[in-house]
Amino acid sequence: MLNKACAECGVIVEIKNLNTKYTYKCPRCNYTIVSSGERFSYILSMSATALLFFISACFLPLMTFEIGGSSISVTVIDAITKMGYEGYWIISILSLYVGVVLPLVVISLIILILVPRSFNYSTDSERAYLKVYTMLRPWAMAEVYMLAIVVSAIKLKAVAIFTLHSGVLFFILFLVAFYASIIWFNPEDIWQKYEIQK
Amino acid sequence: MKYRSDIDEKMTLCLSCHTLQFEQNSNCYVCDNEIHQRKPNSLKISFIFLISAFLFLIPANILIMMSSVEAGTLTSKTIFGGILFFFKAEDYFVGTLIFLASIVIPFFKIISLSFLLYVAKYKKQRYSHVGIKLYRIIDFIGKWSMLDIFVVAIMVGIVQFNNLALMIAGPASFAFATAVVLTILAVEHFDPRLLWSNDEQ
Repeated sequence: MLNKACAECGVIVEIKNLNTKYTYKCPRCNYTIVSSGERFSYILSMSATALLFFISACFLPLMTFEIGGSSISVTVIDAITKMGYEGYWIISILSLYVGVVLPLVVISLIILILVPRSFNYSTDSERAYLKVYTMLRPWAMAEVYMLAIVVSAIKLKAVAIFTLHSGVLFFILFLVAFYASIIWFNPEDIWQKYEIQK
Repeated sequence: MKYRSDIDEKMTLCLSCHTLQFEQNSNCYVCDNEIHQRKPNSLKISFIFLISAFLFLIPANILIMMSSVEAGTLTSKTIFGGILFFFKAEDYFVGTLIFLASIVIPFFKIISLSFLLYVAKYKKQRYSHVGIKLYRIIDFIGKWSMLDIFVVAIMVGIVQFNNLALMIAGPASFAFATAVVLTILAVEHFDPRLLWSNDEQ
């Protein structure tokens, strides 16, 4: 038997014969109390895919602009290096951090946690990674950044001729793989192994 | 139906690894995180973040968000001016999107969170069910307010065609980014379990 408490209303729920296929919800507020993630091998391959898509999205051009004869093609790396020139560098750093860097960090943490795990080997740093992961995950805003790229492109339509390139496609693919991995990955599955040990 | 809560059972839930345990320890026995039955000073901290977020929203809506130089002429726009620009250009989709992200969501969050703080502080438990739904909504939509900030950052970074076209970020972008981060922090520090605490006695 497993005793669990709802994190959003505090109700204690007793679960007899936990079945990992089911999702358990709080009887009072409908919060998901227990929901097991996917198999580690699936999550690992999905997050490795996300990482590859991310690297491609970084180096391939997102779009090309033409104003009065001069044209510029922009990659994510360009956006990072060019932003620092402006006076409002805090805005640039903040948006890059939550829009691009944190999603990358979150994906790397999943990989760092799951690679040793898939060899049934637990490292000391695993617990630290798990805590950092729980802390950072709500701040990863890649999907908002993607929408911002679309909005900027529509805004620029008025001033410049622009063409979209493969970088945007890879960024969208990265988003899909990124979301699949963070939905499948549930840190509680790993914490449970520590709980059983003690 | 009567529900038993963790306080009735003198137990504590670790918010990092979700292990339920007896409260004699100050740190979780599984993940070694600090544990508390309820987030300490949750309402006070959340209230402070909420007030500061509201104060930052005022300059964010009055000052200039972004200026652009096109063919030698400088035009400056506030957040609302930027939205009007889209509606005038008949780009209703983007206009509505930015209107929702920059004006509706921040104010909706501030009003809802004030209501949640009121429910939790004065133990109006008949609003608990509405409250928890509002909490989930504002927790989910919070990050979408960053949209306009990202747009400004991307535009400023990309559009640097020297004298042909140039975008410059305005002081409102800083105020607005601070306000959004503060509202997210306010929601993060709010403990939704305080909405219910009077329910079982």
